[in-house]
Amino acid sequence: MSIAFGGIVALFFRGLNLVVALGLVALCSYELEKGDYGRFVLGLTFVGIVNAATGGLTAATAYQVANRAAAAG
Amino acid sequence: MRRLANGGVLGGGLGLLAIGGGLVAGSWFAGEARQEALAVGTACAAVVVNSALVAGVFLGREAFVRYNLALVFPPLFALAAIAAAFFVFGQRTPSAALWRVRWRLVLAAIAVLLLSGGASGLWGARRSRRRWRPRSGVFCAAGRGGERDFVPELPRGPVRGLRHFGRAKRAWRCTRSRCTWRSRCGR
Repeated sequence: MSIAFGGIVALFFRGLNLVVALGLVALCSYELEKGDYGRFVLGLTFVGIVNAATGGLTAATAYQVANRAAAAG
Repeated sequence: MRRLANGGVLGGGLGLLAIGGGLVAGSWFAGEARQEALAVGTACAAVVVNSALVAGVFLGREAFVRYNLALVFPPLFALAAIAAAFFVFGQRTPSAALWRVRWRLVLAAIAVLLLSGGASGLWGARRSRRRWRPRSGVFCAAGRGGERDFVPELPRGPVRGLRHFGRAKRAWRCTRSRCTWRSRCGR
C-alpha cells in the first residue's frame, strides 16, 4: 500500500469518525432535555480527554508488536 | 496472543485504574458529577483498552484497515446503542446513554475485531505452512550446498565458531533468495 493510498484510506476513516461523532451530538441534542444533555456532554468530554491522553499507548503497543519478532531473531 | 496479553497488562491496568477513579470520584463529588462518575470511569476503561490493545496490536501487525476499523467501530456501535436506548427502550437519560454507549458495545466491538484478527491470523499461518511444505526438500538441499561451499573459509575457535554458526544459519536462510553468499559461493 502506497503512502498516498494509505492517506486516502485514513482520511476516509477519519471522515467516518467525524460523521459518527456529529450524528451522536445531533441525536443527543434532539432527544435529551437541556439539563440531561449538559450532563451527557460533560461525561463524553471527560472520556474524550482520557482518550486523547492515552493515545500514545496505541503507538507504544504497535511498536512492541512490530519489533518483538525482529529482536528475538 | 502472548503479545496481546503483554500489552493487556498496561491497558487492563489503566482500565482498572479508570474504574477505580470513577468509584473514588463518585464518593467524593456531589450532584450530577457523582451520578455519572462510575459510568464515565467505565467508559474511560473501555476507551483505554480499545486504544491501547486492539488498535495498537493491529497497527503493529500492519493491518492498516483493521486498525482504522478498531477506531471507527466503537463510536459507531455507541451511536447505534444510544439510538436503541432512546427509541427502542425509551431510556432518555444521560446515565443510560453513557452506560450503554461505551461499555457493552465497545466490548462487542473489541470481541468482533479480535475474532476477525484471530481468524485472519490462523488463516495466514495455515496458508504459509501449506506454501512451504512441498518445497522444504529443495530448501534443505540448497542450504547444504551453500554450507559445503563456504565452510573451508571459516575461522576456528569457540567464539568464532559461534559466529560461524550464525553465518551458516543466515546463509541457510538466504540460499533461496538473491544473496551475497550465492555470489561468494559461485553458484
